[in-house]
Amino acid sequence: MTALTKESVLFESDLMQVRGLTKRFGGLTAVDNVDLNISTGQIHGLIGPNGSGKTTCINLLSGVLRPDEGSILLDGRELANKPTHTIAGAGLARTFQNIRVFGRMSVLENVLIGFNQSLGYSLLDVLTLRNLKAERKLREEAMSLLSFVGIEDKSSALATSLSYGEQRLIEIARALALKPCILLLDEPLVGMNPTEVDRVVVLLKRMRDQGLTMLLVEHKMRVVMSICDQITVLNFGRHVASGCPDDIRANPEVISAYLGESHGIRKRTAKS
Amino acid sequence: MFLQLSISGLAMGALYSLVALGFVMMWNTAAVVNFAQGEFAMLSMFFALSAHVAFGLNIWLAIAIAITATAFLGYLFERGLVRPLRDADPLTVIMMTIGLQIFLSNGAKFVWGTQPEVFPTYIGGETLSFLNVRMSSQALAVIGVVSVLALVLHWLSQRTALGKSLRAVAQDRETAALMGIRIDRVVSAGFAISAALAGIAGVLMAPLVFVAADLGLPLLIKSFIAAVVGGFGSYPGALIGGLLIGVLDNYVGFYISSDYRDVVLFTVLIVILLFRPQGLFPKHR
Amino acid sequence: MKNISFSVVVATLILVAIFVPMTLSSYQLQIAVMVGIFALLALSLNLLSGYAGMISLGHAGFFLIGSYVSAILATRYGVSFGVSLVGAVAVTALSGLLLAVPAMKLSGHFLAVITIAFGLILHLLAINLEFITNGVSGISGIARPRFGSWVMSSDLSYYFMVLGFVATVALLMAAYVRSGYGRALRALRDDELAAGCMGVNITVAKIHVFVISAGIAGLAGCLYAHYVRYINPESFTIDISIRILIMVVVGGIGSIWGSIIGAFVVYVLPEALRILNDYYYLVFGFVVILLMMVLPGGIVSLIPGSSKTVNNISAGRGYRP
Repeated sequence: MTALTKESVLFESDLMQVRGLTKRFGGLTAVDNVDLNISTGQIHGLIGPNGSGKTTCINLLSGVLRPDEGSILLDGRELANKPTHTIAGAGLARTFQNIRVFGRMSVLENVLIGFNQSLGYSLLDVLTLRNLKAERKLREEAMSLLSFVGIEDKSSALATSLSYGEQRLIEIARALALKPCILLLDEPLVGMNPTEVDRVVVLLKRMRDQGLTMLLVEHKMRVVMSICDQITVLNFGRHVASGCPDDIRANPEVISAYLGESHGIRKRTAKS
Repeated sequence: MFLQLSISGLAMGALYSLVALGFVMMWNTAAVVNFAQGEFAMLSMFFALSAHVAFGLNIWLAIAIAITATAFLGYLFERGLVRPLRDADPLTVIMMTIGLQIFLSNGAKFVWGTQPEVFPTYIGGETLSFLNVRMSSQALAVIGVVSVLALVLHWLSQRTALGKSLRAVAQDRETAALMGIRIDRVVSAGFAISAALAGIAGVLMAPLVFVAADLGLPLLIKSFIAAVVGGFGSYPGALIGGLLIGVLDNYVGFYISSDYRDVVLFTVLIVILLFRPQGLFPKHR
Repeated sequence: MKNISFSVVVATLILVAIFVPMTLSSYQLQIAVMVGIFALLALSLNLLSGYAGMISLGHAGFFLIGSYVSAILATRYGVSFGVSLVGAVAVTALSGLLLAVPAMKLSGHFLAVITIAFGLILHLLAINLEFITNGVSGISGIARPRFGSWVMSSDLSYYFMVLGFVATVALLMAAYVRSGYGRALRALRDDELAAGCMGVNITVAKIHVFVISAGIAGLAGCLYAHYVRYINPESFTIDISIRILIMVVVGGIGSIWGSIIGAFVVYVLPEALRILNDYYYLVFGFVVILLMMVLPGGIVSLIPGSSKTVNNISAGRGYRP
């Protein structure tokens, strides 16, 4: 299979299409005319050396940053320049590289936030206590999400009292509460020991099996290569290559992006 | 008239700048919003007054003692109250400083009474006249002293070990500690300096106002606003912010209305915050 | 076990609140009414600062608006208490929008500065806009509530009315806070960015909390005006704003019971400690400092089984984003 060039073939099953995404910070162009095609039901990897613009991309896609140029289509719906909560409501959820759980709320409450889009009751219902039944149902759903990620026994604990690895699981459960059609994961494995890494990888595979599309930004190459269906590589904010893992692994441009110009295909270091 | 207002505004503003500088330093070194900063200035005035009037010491000696005592107070503040709360919620810290403000301002009332006192002028006694401007030499001296002080502080911060350590701690505490900087000592020193700045403002201000125990809060509010307008966290911002507030206060009082002075001032503040929240001279990262 | 002792404490407090006042002297009843009014103010500030995390040092401003609206409606237009109440709450709630606007763009100490300015400006306007507020002379002759031919002239009856309002507001607030709306506020407080990404409409949430908080303060203002029957700008200074904040924090920030207890403690203590008289504020300041050093979770954190750490600031341990 040849590596796909920048002008990729448009698949009918593309859930998310990004065209010409650009973001500048003063003189620096962090993301430069990036295209992405993420097919439904796949785990799409987004990799690149440090500073290549991966996290900026996630911030652009989730609405944390506004793009200077470009379009972001999710299921045909334009998301660029929309506020974060609208994007979340459209079905895009995300996790954060520097964990951002709601520190003064319990684990369960963190997940419950994700349901705020689909509460099912109004302010009047709250004041007349007619929301209690809906609340109970939401709590049950939240608990089942917590069991899915494996931390249901800690549901009433303060979110920041959990270990680093467990807090990442909170973030995933919380994102899943949005019932998203796509989940963006920003370096979910950073700072995790091998056991925790395996736990999350298993989780991601189960999520894919249940039909969730994911965009995974990660540095741990072994994981990326093993679970991603498609991979896009960025360097200096620009698109370098897209394709399946084997093609990416062998792509000379990708290799030189990671290891520097002077390294040819022959030099195999532990770095990649 | 305009010139008169400007120059006298600069004098008052210079005082706000000093207090604001200290305020900003406490924020930069330990993320503390010190509600009692105005009280340090107020206490310094009383220390000097007591030393001079009650103990009959020479005025300059009294001033030196006052500033030193205030600096020590700043040190105690850091060691005793700020350091134990270093991991606490920011609101807890603010509340502690609010409690301190109440304690100090009422403590002063208790010790020195509620009657406003007169502080002797110590920098000349005449009113100077030039270019249609009439100002007491004391007020002019304020501008002079603060200018010199600003330069000295700048030199300290750029050229001395302490100054560099303070900047390092403000930028990145952990790395500074890793580099071998004694964080505890540096932060204590920073607080002592911050309090001293307020103390200097106090003794400079003393001959120009009636010394009273309730001067602290209004001084704090104006200085806080100055720091924010100038660009919260930046020293040049605090300096210029103070001058601006002082001058603006005068203009508004004269050209618009004395009654609505504060209203207009605060409205200007709100407008600036809404359209340029990072202040006029934001800190460079 | 914990739940039982908490319920017992609550039940006792409720009984005390209902029956003890019947035995109090007129002067003591006046204090009880004021405690109730300040409890409402504390509850309102607690919603804004404790649950939504937006520090406000200008809450006396809302109190002022509510009081003056009631005072003006009652004295100049002779409206009934009901209209005065609705008017005060509505106008003050709308004024909450005024603060909500800067809150969209600013946070932390920037917002705090704006709240200070808000309170100070309103105070100054009350002094200077004499054609509306009568300036420093204030507005007098505000009538006590009248229902048909019966006038609520006794302190005891007024106390029960205030108690009723406090109980209602507290219960409604408890329901609100435990709902998705309350969670949205707390998420907003803990991490605004993440909250937005999780679908919380930050703009709407901020408007919600400012309008509701202001409305409750407006209610307090109306009750105040009709009780003391004479208001002037000096009742609405930054000292009052600070006092309300202290009530919230001393009681236990982020706790509804905390606000009520805090209002009681901070208002009653000076009266109880009247022997100290001149030293009162000195001791007060000292106690506030001590409390922050030793018991930052407030009084409520002392009660076993109260819904503590999850909503409140965990004692001594801070959350730094």
